[in-house]
Amino acid sequence: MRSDNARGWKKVFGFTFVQFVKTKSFIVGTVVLCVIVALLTAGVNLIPKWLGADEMISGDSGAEDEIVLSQIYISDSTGILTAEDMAALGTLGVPVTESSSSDEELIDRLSQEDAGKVLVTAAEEKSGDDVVGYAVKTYYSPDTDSSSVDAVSNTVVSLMKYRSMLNLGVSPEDFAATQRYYTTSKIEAGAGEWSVFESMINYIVPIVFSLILFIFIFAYGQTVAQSIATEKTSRVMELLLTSVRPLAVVIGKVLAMGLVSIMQFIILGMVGGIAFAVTAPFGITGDILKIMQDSSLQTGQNAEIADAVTKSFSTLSPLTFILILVIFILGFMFFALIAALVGASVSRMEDLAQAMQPYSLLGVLGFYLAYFPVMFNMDSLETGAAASNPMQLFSYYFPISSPFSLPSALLLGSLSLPQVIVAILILAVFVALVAVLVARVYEMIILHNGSRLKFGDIIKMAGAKK
Amino acid sequence: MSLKVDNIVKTYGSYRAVDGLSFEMTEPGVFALLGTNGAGKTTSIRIILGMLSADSGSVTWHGKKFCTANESIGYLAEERGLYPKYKIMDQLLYFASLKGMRRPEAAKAINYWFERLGVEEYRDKRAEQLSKGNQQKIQLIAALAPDPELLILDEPLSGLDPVNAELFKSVIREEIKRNKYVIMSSHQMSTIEEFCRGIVILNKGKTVLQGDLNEIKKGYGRVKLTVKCEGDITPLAQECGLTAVEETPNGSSYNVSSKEQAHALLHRIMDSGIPLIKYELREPSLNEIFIEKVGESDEK
Repeated sequence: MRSDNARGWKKVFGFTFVQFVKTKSFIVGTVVLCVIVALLTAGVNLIPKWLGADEMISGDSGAEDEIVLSQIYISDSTGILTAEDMAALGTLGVPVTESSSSDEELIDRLSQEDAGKVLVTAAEEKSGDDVVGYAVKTYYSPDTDSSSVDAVSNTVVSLMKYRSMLNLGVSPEDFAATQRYYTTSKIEAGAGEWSVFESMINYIVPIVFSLILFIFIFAYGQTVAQSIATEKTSRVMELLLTSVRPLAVVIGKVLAMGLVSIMQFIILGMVGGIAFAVTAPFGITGDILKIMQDSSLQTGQNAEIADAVTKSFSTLSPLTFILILVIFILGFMFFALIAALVGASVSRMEDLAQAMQPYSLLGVLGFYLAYFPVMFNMDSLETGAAASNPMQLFSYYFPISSPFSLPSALLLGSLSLPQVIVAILILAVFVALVAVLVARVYEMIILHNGSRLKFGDIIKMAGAKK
Repeated sequence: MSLKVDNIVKTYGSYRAVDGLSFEMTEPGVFALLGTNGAGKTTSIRIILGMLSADSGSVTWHGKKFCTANESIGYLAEERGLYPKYKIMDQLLYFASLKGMRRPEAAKAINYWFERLGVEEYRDKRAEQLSKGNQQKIQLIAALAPDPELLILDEPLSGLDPVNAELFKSVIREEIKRNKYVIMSSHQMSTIEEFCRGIVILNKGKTVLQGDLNEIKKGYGRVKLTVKCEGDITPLAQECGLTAVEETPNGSSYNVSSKEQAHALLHRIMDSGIPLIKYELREPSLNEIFIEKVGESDEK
C-alpha cells in the first residue's frame, strides 16, 4: 500500500468518528444499551439470589421448603399406605386425616374452603385384572401454595413405593440401596476433567463472549457498509475523491467505526462494571467473591466453586487482554473491510439490504461456528468431563469464526499461547488478503453506477486490474 | 502554466468510453467539454481529476503528472452530493480540510461564500433541509472555498432558476477575472458560448471537433441565412439553389454555401418587390455546430 493512496485517512477518520458519535441514533442507542447492560448485570447478580441460588452456595441447598398447608386428607383405595406411613406423612408438620367422606364430597368441599387444604387420592390402574400402576391425584383448595402441594404429592408417592417394596419382601436397607444415584462420564484419555462448576464456566463464558463480540464486530461492520453506501449513493464520494484516494476513505472509515465500536464497548463495560460493583454485595456474585477471597478456607461445594473459578481463569494475565484487543481489532477489520466492499458495490441505498446478504451469512456462519460447538458440549455439563470438540478447535483457527471464539479460549486458557499466536496470525493473513482485495478493486467499484456488482464481478475486477 | 490532456483512452470491456482525448489549456479561461449523454464527458473529467486511471495517455498540470490530492482543484460534480444528515458548516469544513485548509482559514473562506451566494442562514441546517438549488450553492462553496487554481464544473447551471443561474454565472465570471482555469461541461450551449474560448465536442468517446470557438465559427463563415418577408419567397430561393431548413414565425432559415449565394437571393427579393422584413447572414451557433458534428459522427 503506497502512502500516497492512504494520505488524508486521518481527516476521514476524524470526521467520520466525530459525526457518528454526534448522531442521535448513536447517543440514544448507547444510552439504551447502557440501561440494558446495567439491568442485565444487576439481574445476573440479584435474580439468582432471589431464586435461592445463594443457599446452594452457602451449602443449605438440602433444606426442605416449608410446607404451607393446614390440612392433608388421604383417600387410599389401594390399601398400600399403612398407619406408619400416615405417621411419616405427619412429620411434614401438617395434620393428616384419612378421609371418611366420599372423594366427590370432599373435593366439592375443598373447592369452597380457604387456601391450605389438600386431598390426596391413590387408586390402582388396571389392565384387565392386572394392576399396572397407581394414580395419585392431589386436589387442593383455591390459592393453596403450589410447591407445598407438589411436596405432599411427592411424599405420598415415595411412601407408596417404599411400602410396596417392603410388601414384596425388600428390606429398608436394600430399598435405600436402590435409591442411590449414578452419574456417567465420557472422558477422552489424557484430557482434563472438569467439575460441574468448571463445566458451567466453560459453557457460559464462550457463549456470552461470542454473542457480545458478534454484536459489536458484525453490527459496526454493517455501519461501515451503510456509511460508504450513503457516501456513494449521495454522490459525496465524488467530491471526496477530488482530495483523497479511495483507499484513504476506506481506511479512515473502518478505523473510525472500529474506534466507535471499542469506545462503546468500553462505555458499556464500565456501566456493567459499575452496576456489577454496586449490586455485588447484595447478589450472588458477592457471595462468589466472598468465597474467592477466602478460597483456601472453603469446604464442600463452596470449595468446588472456588476451585473451578481459579482453574478456569488461571491463565489470565495482562497479555491475555492485549491479545483479546488484537483479535477484536483484526476481527473488526476483517468484517468491516468486507462490509466496505459491499457498501461500495451498490448504487442505490435500496440495494444495500440485498447486497448485505452474503456478508450477513458470513457473519452468522462465523458466529455459529463459534457458538454451536459450545452448545454441543452441553454433555459436559452433565458428565463433568472436559470436552474436546474438533469443531470448536476448528473455530479457533478459521478466520471467519476465530474473532468470536478465540477471546473466550484465551480467557479460559483453552488454547496454549503458541496455538493462540498461530490462530491470530492466520486471522491477520486473511485480513491482509481482504485489504489487498479492497485496495485493488475499491477504486473501480466506488465509481461504478448502475446495476449492483456481484461478488464474482468484484473478483473479476481484482484479477483484471493491472 | 498549463493543463495538458494527452491522448487519454479509457475502455470498459470492449466499450471505449474515451478514445484519445487531447487538449491543452495554456492560459486561464474557460474550456468547454461538450457531448451528448454518454459521450464520455464525465469519464474524461474523472480521469482528469485522477478518480479514474486512464488505460493510456496522460494528464499534466504545470508540466508535472497531475495528482488530485496534491493540487488545488475545485470540482462541482454533475450529480450533486452532500451528506444529508450532517450540518452544512461541518461538512464544508471537512471538505476544506481534505484540501489541506486549516480550520480558521477555511471558516473565513466559507463564510465569504455563504454571504456571496446568500445562504448564510443554512450554515447550521442539515443538507436534507435545503432545496435542490441551495444544495447546489453549498456544493459550489465546497468547490470554491479552497480558492482552487483549476475549477471543474460539470453542468453547473442545470436545475437552477434564472435568478440563481445568473448568480452562478456572475461567480464564474469573477473566477475568470481572477485568472482561474475552468473546465466546464454543459448542455446549455448559450452558456458555453458566453464563457468558453476552447471547446472539445465528444461523441461516443471520440473527439469530433476541437479548437478555439471563435476560430471554428470563422472557419464555417457566414453560412446561416434567415429571411422574413411579407410574401412567399420559396420560388426565389429555389432559383438561387436554396431550400429552407426551418420555417418559423421569425422567418425562413437557409444553409448557404457562400456570401454570393445569399446576396443573390437578396437581389431577387428586392427585384420582385416583396417587402423584406428581416435579412440576417451569420456564423452558425455552437448549438448548430454541435448538432451537425454529432450528426456527422453518427452517420459514419
